[in-house]
Amino acid sequence: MDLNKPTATCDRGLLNRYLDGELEHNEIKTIQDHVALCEDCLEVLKRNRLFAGALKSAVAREQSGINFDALATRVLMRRNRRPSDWKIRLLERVRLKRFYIPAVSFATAMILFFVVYTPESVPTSPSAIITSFSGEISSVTIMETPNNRQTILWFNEISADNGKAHGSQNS
Amino acid sequence: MAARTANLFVFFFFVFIPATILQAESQVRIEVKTVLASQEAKYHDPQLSNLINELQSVFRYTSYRLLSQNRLSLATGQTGMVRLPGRRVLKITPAGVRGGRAELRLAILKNKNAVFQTVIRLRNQSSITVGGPKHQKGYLLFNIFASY
Repeated sequence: MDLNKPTATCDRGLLNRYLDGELEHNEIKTIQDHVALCEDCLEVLKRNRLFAGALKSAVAREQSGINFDALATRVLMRRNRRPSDWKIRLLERVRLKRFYIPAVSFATAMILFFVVYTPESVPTSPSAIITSFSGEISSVTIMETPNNRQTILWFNEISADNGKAHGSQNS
Repeated sequence: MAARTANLFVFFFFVFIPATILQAESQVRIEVKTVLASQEAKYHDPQLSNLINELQSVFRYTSYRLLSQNRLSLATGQTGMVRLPGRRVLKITPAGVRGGRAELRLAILKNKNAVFQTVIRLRNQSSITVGGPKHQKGYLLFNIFASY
């Protein structure tokens, strides 16, 4: 492309690369010759130079307030800092919870299941053993319930009126 | 101050609590339910549901009515008394605990005369039902529960 004459297709990309110092020697000569003749490109070049200068000065101004050495030191310290003991223990507990909460829940459920659903064992001996008995009685019956082997002691009193037994068993 | 607190702590855990436990163990807790069983209109006292389930496997009464309920806490050799219907009295004396059973001496008195006496050995957390005296239109049952 002949850049020595102003055209509608002036290469703005080439201008930007010229401004950024990225062109070869012969390209620099070409663009300088073109800009000397093309007022549009000269104007674009001036505007871009102005903008680039303002941008650079603004960045430099901002950077001047930053202490990069201190920032680098802080970043390194943070990277190298180890969590304290209590943090480690807390993290371990949180990790352990994944195991022991389900384990404890399962164990509790099993205990409840066996407590609720395990049938009560039948006693192997009667609830009471009668060692002796005496009194104004005509008879005594000792029984035991079939389910829980609960002892029943039934006595028939002798009536004070006529000396006859008046109790009666109803089994 | 710290030493005093430590002494109190040691006293509480090694003297007071064991002494309390031993004291509690030497006591026999007894509950006596007096029930009127009869063949009147069907009635099952809701407070006697467990007992009635047991009694129905032996008796054919249709009505079980709770007349009274008494709780006693007796030391060995101490006698407790429960007033029963018909000017009767039930005397209970724990004689000790042997072989996992509490030995109880029971005496039923009527007009201050002992009409029935027995010695039983009752399993812990268990009961015996003593029955026989006629009362109104039925018979009296005394369910005696003991724990120690």
